[in-house]
Amino acid sequence: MFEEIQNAAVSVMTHIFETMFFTFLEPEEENEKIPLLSRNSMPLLKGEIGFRGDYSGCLKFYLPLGLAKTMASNFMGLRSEEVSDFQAIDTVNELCNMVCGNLFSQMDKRSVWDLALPRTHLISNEELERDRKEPRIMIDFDAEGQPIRLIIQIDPEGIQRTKRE
Amino acid sequence: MAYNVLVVDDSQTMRKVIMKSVMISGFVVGEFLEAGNGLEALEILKHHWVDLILADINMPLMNGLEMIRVLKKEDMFQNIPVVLITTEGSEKRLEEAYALGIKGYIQKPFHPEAIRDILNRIMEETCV
Repeated sequence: MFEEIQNAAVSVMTHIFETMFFTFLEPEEENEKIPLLSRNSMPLLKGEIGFRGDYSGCLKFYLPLGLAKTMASNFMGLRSEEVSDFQAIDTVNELCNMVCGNLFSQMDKRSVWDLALPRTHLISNEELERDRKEPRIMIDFDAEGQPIRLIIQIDPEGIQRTKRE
Repeated sequence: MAYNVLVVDDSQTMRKVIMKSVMISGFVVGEFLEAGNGLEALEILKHHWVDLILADINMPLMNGLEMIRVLKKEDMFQNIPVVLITTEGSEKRLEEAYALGIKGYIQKPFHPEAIRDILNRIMEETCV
């Protein structure tokens, strides 16, 4: 199940970044010793959205504010310096929505998935480290030189139920 | 003829992108109106003439499907065409939306051409 979700997540992320943010995305190699995100020195944003369907859990995105502003600027057709922090955060919320909605409907069109409302805020490197240690699917991407991390957490009860089925 | 378009989405950024895509599509817009959820949209409809509604599903306070249910009960609003622009892709939810009377559906992420094609089709149907 995890491999199927991971492959679908890469495909959905790549498609959304190209279509809405005009940015090419490459998954980083798993053996990369120091992921791009850990080398980042800019303020970090964390976007998250809960989902509930055949199983439940949440998606979390970690990216520098600078990348969020680039995405917002490409998304809205504005110059980077015209993008406010609010618009950058709103864009990450929309990213959460699009990835979560597309990911599960792509994997199973017949099931109904309820999405929570996304939320995005600034985080510290400590929170980034703490979240990295939780059980999850974690994929690091290179967005034209800027890092973005996706973590997918599925509630253990959901995993048990799926295994039994 | 110019049409008044109500865009209902809780993301201000997405509303701007949708409005821009509608403009690029060549659709002649009289006025754009914006709402952040279904309740705000219903309030706007009380005070403005609207020819077309472009709405998300997943929104706070009143979601897109709840809003359509209310619209369909009101004589004044039940014939306004509604197009959903949403991340939702579940067949069951779309069947529910079409049963409620939506005129079209665009899944995010979208190309502006997707909006143009649907708007052209709806307006041709409306004029026939």
